[in-house]
Amino acid sequence: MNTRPIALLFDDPEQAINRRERVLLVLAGLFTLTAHLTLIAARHLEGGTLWLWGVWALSAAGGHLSLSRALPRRDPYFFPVVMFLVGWGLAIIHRVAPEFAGRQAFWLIISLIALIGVSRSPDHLRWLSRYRYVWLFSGLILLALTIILGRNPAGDYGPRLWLGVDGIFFQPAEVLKLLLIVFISSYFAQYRQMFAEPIFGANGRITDLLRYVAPLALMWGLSMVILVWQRDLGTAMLFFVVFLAMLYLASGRLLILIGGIGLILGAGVLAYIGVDLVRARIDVWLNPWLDPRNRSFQVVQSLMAFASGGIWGQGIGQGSPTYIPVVHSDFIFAAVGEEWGLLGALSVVVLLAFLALRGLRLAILLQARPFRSYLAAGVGITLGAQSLLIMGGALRLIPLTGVTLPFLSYGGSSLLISFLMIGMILILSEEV
Amino acid sequence: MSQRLNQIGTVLLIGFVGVALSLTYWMVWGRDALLAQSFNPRLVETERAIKRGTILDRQGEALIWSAAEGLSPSGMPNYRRISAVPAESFSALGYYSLTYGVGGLESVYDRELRGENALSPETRLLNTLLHHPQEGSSIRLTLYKTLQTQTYQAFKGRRGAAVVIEVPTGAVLALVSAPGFDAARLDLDFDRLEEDQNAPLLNRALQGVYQPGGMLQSALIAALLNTDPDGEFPVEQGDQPVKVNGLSLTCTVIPDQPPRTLLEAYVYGCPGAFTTLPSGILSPARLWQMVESFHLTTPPLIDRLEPLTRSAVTPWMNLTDPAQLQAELLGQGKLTLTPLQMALNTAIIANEGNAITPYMVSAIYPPTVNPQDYDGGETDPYRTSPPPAGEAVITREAADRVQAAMREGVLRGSAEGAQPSGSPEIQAHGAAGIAYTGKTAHAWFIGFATLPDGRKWVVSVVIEDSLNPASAAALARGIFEQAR
Repeated sequence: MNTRPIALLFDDPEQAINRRERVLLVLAGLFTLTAHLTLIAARHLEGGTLWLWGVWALSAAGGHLSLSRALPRRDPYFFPVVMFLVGWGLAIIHRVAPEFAGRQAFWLIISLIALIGVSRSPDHLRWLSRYRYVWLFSGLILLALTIILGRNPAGDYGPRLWLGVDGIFFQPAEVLKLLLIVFISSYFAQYRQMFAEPIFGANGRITDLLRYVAPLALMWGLSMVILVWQRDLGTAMLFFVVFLAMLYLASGRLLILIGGIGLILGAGVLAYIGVDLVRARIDVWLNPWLDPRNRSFQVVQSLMAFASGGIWGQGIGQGSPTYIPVVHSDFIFAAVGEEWGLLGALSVVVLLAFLALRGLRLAILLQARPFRSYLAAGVGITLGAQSLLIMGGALRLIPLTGVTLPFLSYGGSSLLISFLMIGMILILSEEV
Repeated sequence: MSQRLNQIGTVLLIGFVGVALSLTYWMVWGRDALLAQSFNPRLVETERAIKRGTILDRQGEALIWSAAEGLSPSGMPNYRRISAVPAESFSALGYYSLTYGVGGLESVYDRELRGENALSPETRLLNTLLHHPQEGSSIRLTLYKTLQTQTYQAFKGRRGAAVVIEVPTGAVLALVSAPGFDAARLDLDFDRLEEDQNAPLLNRALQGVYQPGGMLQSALIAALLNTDPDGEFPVEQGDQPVKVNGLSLTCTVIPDQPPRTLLEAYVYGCPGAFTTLPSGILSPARLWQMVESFHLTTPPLIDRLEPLTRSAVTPWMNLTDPAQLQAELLGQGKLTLTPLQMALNTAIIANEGNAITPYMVSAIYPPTVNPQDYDGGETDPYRTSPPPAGEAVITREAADRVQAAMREGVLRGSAEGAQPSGSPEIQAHGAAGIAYTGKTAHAWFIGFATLPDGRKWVVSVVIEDSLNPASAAALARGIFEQAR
């Protein structure tokens, strides 16, 4: 008979972390299982579709066991929150676009393997910092390849943002997003002292200004290339916003922030004049009621879906979110709103805010190790900014930018890169 | 650096709070206004998911019903309204369209057909929350399906209308408007139907207004006999043509001998005899009083169907031009009547001088019961209360004498040909004639048949663009033959 005092059972912090993560995963599992069962009942689906939940449950269990061994002192909240959102997203994708649910489950497995692979990396994240220019140029080459060879899985009419072989597509911009975060973190970590000096340097030379202007201009130029050549407003906006926040973080110069915002506005004006897609998005944002059946259809139907949800929601499988074109990707938040109501949508907001702000908290805790601190901040800012861009677009707070809602939206590349970012965050949390 | 991280975190937090506030606005405060917009497809989807109740004929045969037609984009059932074949024969009952709304019976019984009458507010709320399918009540009509379709087909492409009403109950047995339209295809065909010169969208039975011509004489004769039940009302040269508005009106059937009395003139449809009425026998004021007591100036109501709004007619005693008064007495003036009014007018004569109240809905079955399990008879628990009997308009004696004249009209007068062949037990009564409307004319028949069981079928038929009253009488004969 075990005679140890009960309190001693929880003395081991690693056990406590595992237990907490386990409890949260079980709660997430109950929630997502209920969602799948309700969906089956509401839509009179075959019980066999529960295999999707089975994939999720195995991924959650496998991830938990692997992380318990590889990163025993990790933050216990990131993985359950991410799995909760992924499981929820899987149920919604199954509801609104069942033909994509299997593929999303496949990408969940791939993403989890990638996360486990990163978490088991023996050298952890040092190699990321060491080869930063390799990452940068790899990213730029990918971008160039996309401009030349890019395709759209849905056909030749949409933006060509994907590279693909044999029906398997991925979006290089997602990879580029991760590589840029790594590069910027490494670059700023190395030159942080320089950024702390006055803008014009101790001697007041104009060349000292270049250390600010050059990366800013480079990033702005890169974003404009993405915008003009690829017509990918979301990625361009996300890159520049993340970069600007990181530059402000490194320099602390309000002037840089104001200048950057000025550049965004300037680019917006130029794009409004020269890029029809941007002009259409801004026109729709300013007044969607002018043409609600055609040009503004997507945004107006998104607002209709939120309104239809009300406080309590229509119930899973019982709303009409499929009126929104590509609801399973860019507008999955509206599907949450319609079928889970205000309470469900606010839960998503809170959880995504939690991930972003906890990433920033990690950055504060890691200040003594600049690269790691910037990396945590970069991931937190990216998750936060990406979430706000698409949620704000779906709610007509800002012009619509086509990015995915992290972890919920359908999209293999997005899920994979988001899991890799969470993998890095988990490693960083282990080092606190 | 932690200060800057906190600042960035605060900005992100403000962004998330902004999203939360925006959500609250659209999902709580701005919700109702947004959902009411016409471009909300959920409105249509919700509407199409309602299984409207079936409209049955008096024998329980389905006339109009909702049929499932696949699922909506979000998986809700999709119902479409279907009419029995030929669908055009039922268009006078109304229509249900997502684009053009509801009309006729479909409109006035909309709450019942949607099932909103059968549920308590609590049940409705619960059904809404649980997304239970909404099913409507079925309504049983007094119509005979076969009589309705065969009467419609008897028009053979001609324009016109027919109304058949049972006396003394007031049950409408057929309500036909020709040409009709397939209400299920209204959304697709509306533009074509609207431009069609035959005006199939017009419900001629209830809303078609026609000059009564010689048919008005039934009311005039009744008015005279009401004053003097034994009167003979001799006339001289009763078969002489009479000119009105440039037209020369003659007898519908040329008699072997000139009619000697006003009743004989009525039997043969000789209008000339009636031009002497005001000065000789009744004042225009008394005649107008009879016109009003026959409800010829106030369109009638069937169930809850809105009566037709028409411009007021100048009372005859206020007419100063004698030619105009003569035109009114001959049914060629400003007074116009619907086929339903003509049927009700005739029903007063058939019903021994008492008015009847027409009705079409005899029972309403909640969605929880199968209408086929009931017969709509007096023991049917879902039977609606029949309307009260109408007031006495003329004396029984007066009515009897007009009835006798109408019987003569079928045997040897204007309505010859209305008697069903080989069915002496069914005795047809009637009058037929022509009314001129500008460049064209239409043929009328009004009358009734007495059935062996004591009931009577009152019929009014109008055929547009026809100079042949016999065709209207023949159509009425087809209706009477259905009574066997």
